[in-house]
Amino acid sequence: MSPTFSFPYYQNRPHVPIVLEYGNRRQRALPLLDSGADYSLFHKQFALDLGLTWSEGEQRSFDTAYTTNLAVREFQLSLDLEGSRFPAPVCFAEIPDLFHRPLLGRAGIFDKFRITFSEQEQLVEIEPIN
Amino acid sequence: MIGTAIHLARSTRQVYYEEAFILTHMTKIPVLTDAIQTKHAGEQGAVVNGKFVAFGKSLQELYAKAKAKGYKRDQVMIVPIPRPNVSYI
Repeated sequence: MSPTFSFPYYQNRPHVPIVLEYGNRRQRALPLLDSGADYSLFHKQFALDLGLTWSEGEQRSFDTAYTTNLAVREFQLSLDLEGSRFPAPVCFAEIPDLFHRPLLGRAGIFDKFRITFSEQEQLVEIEPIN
Repeated sequence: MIGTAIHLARSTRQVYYEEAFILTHMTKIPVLTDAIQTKHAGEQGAVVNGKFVAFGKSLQELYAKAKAKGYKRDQVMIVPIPRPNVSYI
């Protein structure tokens, strides 16, 4: 049986701890777990701090709930969610608000875990799928 | 092994396996107080073992302040400090 990780909501929202890895650099973060987002999205500062070369990221354009053609750069990173390590695409953009609103979206992540949101208990539970 | 708690310490985080791996608690999620949120909204917080230890308007500033307090980069979890009373869509 796989372990289930249970995290209380942070600020009344489901956030989960994740480690972004690139080379020998690691970054621990607590992004919002967003089942409505196709991709994970962090501020550009996170990419530069990890040592990523901005120009080497794949240029992409996203539509969001409130804007269109948002320019992002996509990188393939190694992620670590409480000991489960896996590769996943992570996007970065230079939007000021994104600095304090990082998102963990579905691509490369939601297919690897059974995820349960409990609004009543203010908990998010994550079970790796073997 | 049902009923047996195995306690593993992994650098900065505590790992508890309980009841035959049914429920596991790992990284501690911090609690954001009104006072911290009012003072540091829009910044990032450095969290170590579930506690805020430093704040910064950039990651560079955040890591520098955490380092000045004796924490290593790998110990620090970067936690956003949202503005108070703001809803997301």
